[in-house]
Amino acid sequence: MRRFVFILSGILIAVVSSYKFYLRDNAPQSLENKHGSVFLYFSDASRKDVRVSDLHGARREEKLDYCLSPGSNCLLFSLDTELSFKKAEIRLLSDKDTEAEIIFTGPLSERLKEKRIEVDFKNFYLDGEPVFQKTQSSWRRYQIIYGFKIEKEKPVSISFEYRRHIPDYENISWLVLLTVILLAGVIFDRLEKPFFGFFYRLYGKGTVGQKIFLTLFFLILCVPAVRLDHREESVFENRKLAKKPSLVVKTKRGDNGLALEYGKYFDYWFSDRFFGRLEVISFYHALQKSLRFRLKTRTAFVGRDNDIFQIRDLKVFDPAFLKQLERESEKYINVLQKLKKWTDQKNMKLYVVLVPVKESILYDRLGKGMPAQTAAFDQWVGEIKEASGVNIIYPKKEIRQAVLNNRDLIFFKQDHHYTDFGMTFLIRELMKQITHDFPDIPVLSEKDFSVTYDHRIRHGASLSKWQTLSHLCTLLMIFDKEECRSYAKPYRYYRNKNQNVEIDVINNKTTTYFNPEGKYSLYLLGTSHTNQMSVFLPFSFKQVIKEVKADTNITLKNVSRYNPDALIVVLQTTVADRLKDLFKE
Amino acid sequence: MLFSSMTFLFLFLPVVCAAYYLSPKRFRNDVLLFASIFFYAWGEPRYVSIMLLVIFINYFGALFIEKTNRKKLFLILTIVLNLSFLAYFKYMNFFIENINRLFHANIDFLYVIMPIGISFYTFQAMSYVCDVYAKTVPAQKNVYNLMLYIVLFPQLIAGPIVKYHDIADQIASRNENIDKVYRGVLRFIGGLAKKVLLANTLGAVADEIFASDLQYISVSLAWIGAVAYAFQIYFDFSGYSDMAIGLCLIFGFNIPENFNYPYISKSVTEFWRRWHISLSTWFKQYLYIPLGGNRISKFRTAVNLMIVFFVTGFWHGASWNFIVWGLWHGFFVVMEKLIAPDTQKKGIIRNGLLHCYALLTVLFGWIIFRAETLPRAWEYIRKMFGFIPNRYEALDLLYYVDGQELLTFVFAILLSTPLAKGFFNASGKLKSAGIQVFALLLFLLSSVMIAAGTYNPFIYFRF
Repeated sequence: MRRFVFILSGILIAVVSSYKFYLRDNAPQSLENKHGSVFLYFSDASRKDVRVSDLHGARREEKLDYCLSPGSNCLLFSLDTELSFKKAEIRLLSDKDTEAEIIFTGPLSERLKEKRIEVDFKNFYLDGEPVFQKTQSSWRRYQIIYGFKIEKEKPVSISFEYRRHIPDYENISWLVLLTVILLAGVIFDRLEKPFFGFFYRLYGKGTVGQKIFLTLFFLILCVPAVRLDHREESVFENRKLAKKPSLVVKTKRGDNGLALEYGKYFDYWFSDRFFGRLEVISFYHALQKSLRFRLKTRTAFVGRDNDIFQIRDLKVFDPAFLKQLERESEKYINVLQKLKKWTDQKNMKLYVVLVPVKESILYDRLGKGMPAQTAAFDQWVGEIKEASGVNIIYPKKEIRQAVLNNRDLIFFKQDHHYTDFGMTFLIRELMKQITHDFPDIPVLSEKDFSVTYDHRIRHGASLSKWQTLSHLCTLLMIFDKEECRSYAKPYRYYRNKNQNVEIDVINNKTTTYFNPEGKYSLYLLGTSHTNQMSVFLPFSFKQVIKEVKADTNITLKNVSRYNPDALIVVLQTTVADRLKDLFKE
Repeated sequence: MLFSSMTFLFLFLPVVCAAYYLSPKRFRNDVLLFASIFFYAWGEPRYVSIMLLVIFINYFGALFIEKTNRKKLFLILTIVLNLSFLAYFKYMNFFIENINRLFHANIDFLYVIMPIGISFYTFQAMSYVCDVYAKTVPAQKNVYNLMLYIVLFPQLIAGPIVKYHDIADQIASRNENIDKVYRGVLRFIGGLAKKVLLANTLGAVADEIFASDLQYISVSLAWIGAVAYAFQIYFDFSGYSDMAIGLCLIFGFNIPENFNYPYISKSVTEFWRRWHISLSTWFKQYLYIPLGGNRISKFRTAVNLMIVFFVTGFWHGASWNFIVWGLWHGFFVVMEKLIAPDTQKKGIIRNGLLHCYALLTVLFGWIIFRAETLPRAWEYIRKMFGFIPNRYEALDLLYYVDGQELLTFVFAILLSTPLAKGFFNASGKLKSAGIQVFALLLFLLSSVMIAAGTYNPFIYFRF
C-alpha cells in the first residue's frame, strides 16, 4: 500500500510539473497566463460620458496604453485570471444614449498581445438576461464581441465569469503524457526504498515532538525554492531583477571561461526571486512598524507630522561632507569661474540654483535627536558665491520663512520634491535675479495661474515606474497604496492660464517649451527639481529647453546648439560636490 | 557562501541534508566532502587549489613524520610551508607596507586576495601534523578523510578550530541519530538568531557611530557605539560558532564549544578561557606549552604570554591594530599572573569591581580592534572620556537607538549571561514543545530578516 501511494504521488507530481512537455500549441502559456481583458466601446459617447458606478472582480486598466485619453470612446478592464472561474460585475451609467460593444479578449501587454494566449469566459449576462452561458475561449485575434444599447441615465449591468484557459483533450500529446507517467512510475518505484530508508535513518527513534519539529524545519527550508519569480523587474523596487548567471562566460579574448563570480551572481538571482519574497518583506515592514517608535529603514525614515525623509539627504549636516566641500572649494570656484567665462563669451547669463534639500528646511520635523542647523553649509555657499562671482541662488532662509508663514505645504509629505506652492518661493528668488539682467521679462503672479488641491504627487518623467506610490514610500518598504496615501495631504497645484505654450518632448531627458508671447530663451539644466520649475518658467520665456540630468556636467554642444540667453543650472544641496564636474572644456 | 545567506539556508542546506541522509553510510563522507568543496568554491573557486595544496602538504608531511627518523625536520618543514601560505596571502602586503615606511623603500604591493578561511584551515592542518608528531594520533592514510577534516564546511570559514585528535575518530565512524539532528537544528537556529537578530542589528548601530565624525557624536553615543560593537562581535562570532556546531551535529559530528559567556568574566585571563576557546587552546597547546609555558620562571612566563598574545593579535589580521589589541590583552593577562587576584573569592563589591575591570579592558580592546587605525582608536577612546569637544551639533542617542535596537540591547545583555540558559533549563515545559515552537518562530523571524535584507530599491541618485 505504502509503495502504491508513493508511486501514485510521484506520477501525480510528474504529471503536474511536466505539463510543458505534453501540452501542445498555446496551452502551456494560456495555463500560466494571469491576465484577461474586457473592452467596452461606445459609438456615440466618450469615456467621460460613461460612469462605472460599480465594479467587482475586474479593475480599470490604467497602465496599458489603451482608452486612456479623456476623449477616447472606450473603457478597458483588466481581469486577474486564475484556474477556477471568477465572477466579474460592471455597472454603467451613461449621460448619453449610445450603441455599445463589449469585447472579451486575452492579455494586451506588449509582451503577450501577439501570442495566442486564451482566456475562458462563461455565464455572460446583460441586465440579468443571459447572452451566453457555455464556456468560450478568446484571445486578441479571436475575440468574443457582443453589441448592445445603453440608454441615457439608465444603469446597465454586465456580469460574466472568467478563468485561465484550461486545455482540452486536443491540446494533449497523449504519447508524451504516457511516457511521463511510465517514466515517473519506474523512477519512483526505484526511489521508494531509499526514500523511506532516509526517513527511517533520520527519524528512527525520536519523540513525536522531535519528528514534527524537524519535519517543519526542513519543510520551511524548502519553501523559498518551491516556486521562483520569473518577472523581469520589481515595480516596488523600481529596478530590474537579477538574471540567472551563466557558469560559462566569454573571456576578454573571446574564449569560453568559467565564471569565477558565478556564486555571487547566483546569490543575487536567488535572493531576488525566491517564493513569497514580497510578502515576507511586507511582513517585515509590519514588524518594523510595531517595533519602532518611528518607521525607519536603511534609506528613509518618518519624522514628525508624518513627513518622510531620506537618510542620504542628511548629508547636508554631515561634517565629513562639509569638510570635503571646504577642502575642494578651490576646485568649485575654478570650475564656476570657467563656466562663467564661457557663458560670458557666448553672451549668456548664468544662474546656479542650489535647491535647499527638504531635510535642511524641515529640520524641526526630523524628529528627536536629529541635527538642526546647516550654518556651516550656508557659510560655505556664501564663500563660494563671493569668490567665484557667479550668481548662486540659495534661498534657504526664504523657503524656511515660507514654511513658517503658510499652512499650505512646501514639500510633499511622502516625497523629497517641492510642491508647486513650495516652488513658487524658489522661483520668486530666482526671478529677482533674472529680472535684474532682463528687466523686461514678465514676472508672473498668482492670478496668472489656476490653483487646485490634490493629494497626489506630481510625477516627473523618471518617477513613472512608481505608479501611485512615491519614491520615499518605496524606500520605506510601503507597498500598499493606501498606506502610502495615508501620509499625503492636499497639495497646492498651479496651472498656468496661458494655453498657448507648446510642449515638445524630445526624449526622456529633454523637453522644450515654446511660448509665442515670450522674448528670451532659457536652457534649464539640472536635477529633478527642474520638473517643478518648468511649471512656471516657460511662461516667462520664449523658449525653454529643459534637460533633466543627474550628473549635471554641462555638454557644451547641447547648450551651444540652442544658444540661449540664459543658462540655469539646478543642483540639490546634497550634491553640491558635483559642482566640480559641472563644466569641462 | 555565508550561513545567513538565502542560497545557503534554502538551497544548499536542504539539498546537502537530503543527499547526506539518502546516501548509504559508506558514501556519506564523500557527500560531505563534495558539499564542502562546493561550498568553498562557491565564493572562492580560484583558491580551492590552494586549500587542496595545503591538505596534500600536511598529508605527506604527517606521513614522513610518522615513517622517517627525521621527525622534527619534517614537522618544521611542514609548519614553515603552512605558515608561508599564510605569510604570502595574508601578511605580505602588511610586511611590504611596513618595510616601505621604515626604510623609505618603494616596493610594489602584491595583487593578492586572501583566500577565505585560510587562517582557520592552515591552523587545523598544523594541529594535525603536531598531533602526529606528538604521537597523539597516527597519520591519516586516507587522504579523503584528512581532506574532510580540513574542509568540513560547517567550520571551514570561521571555525571553531577543531583539533585533529578531537575529531579523527568521528571521521572514521560516527552515529547520526534524530536526537543529534534535533539538537543540531536547535543549536543552528540559536546561532542564526544571534547573528541575524542581534549581531546585525547592533552592528548597524556600531557601524554608523564608528563611521561618524567624532566631533559630531556625543560622549554617550561613543559609549553606545563601543558597547554595540562589543555585542556585535560576540553574537556574530558565537552565533557563527553555534551554527557550525549545530551543522556538525546534524551530520553526526561533535565538535568542541568555542564560547562560554565571556562577558561574565572577572579577569582578562578568565575572558580568554571563555572567548574563542578553540583558538586560545590551540595557542596554549601548540605554542605556549612548547615555548615552556609557566614552568621556567616568572619572567619567561610573562615573555611567553606576550609572545602568545602578540601572535593571537596578528592571527586576527594583518594590521597594527590587531597586534596592539593582542598585546593589550597580553599585558593584562601578565599583570594578572603577577598580581594573581583570586577571582573565586566571594563578595558583591569585590566581584563587581573585578567584573567592571574585565569588561572595560575588553571594551577598550574592542575599540582598538574595530577602529581603522591606531590613532583613530585613540581618538575614539578620548572621545569616550569627553576629551574631544563637539564642533557640530551632536546627533542624539534616539537617532540610532529606536525600539528595535533597545529591545536588541536588552536581549543582548540577557543572552550574554547564562540567565537565559538557566531559564530554559529550569522550565520543564520550555524544554519540550514550548522550545520547539519558540525555535521555529525564531527561525522564521531570522528568515524574515534575511529575506528583508534582499529588498534593494533603486535609489535614484543625484536628485
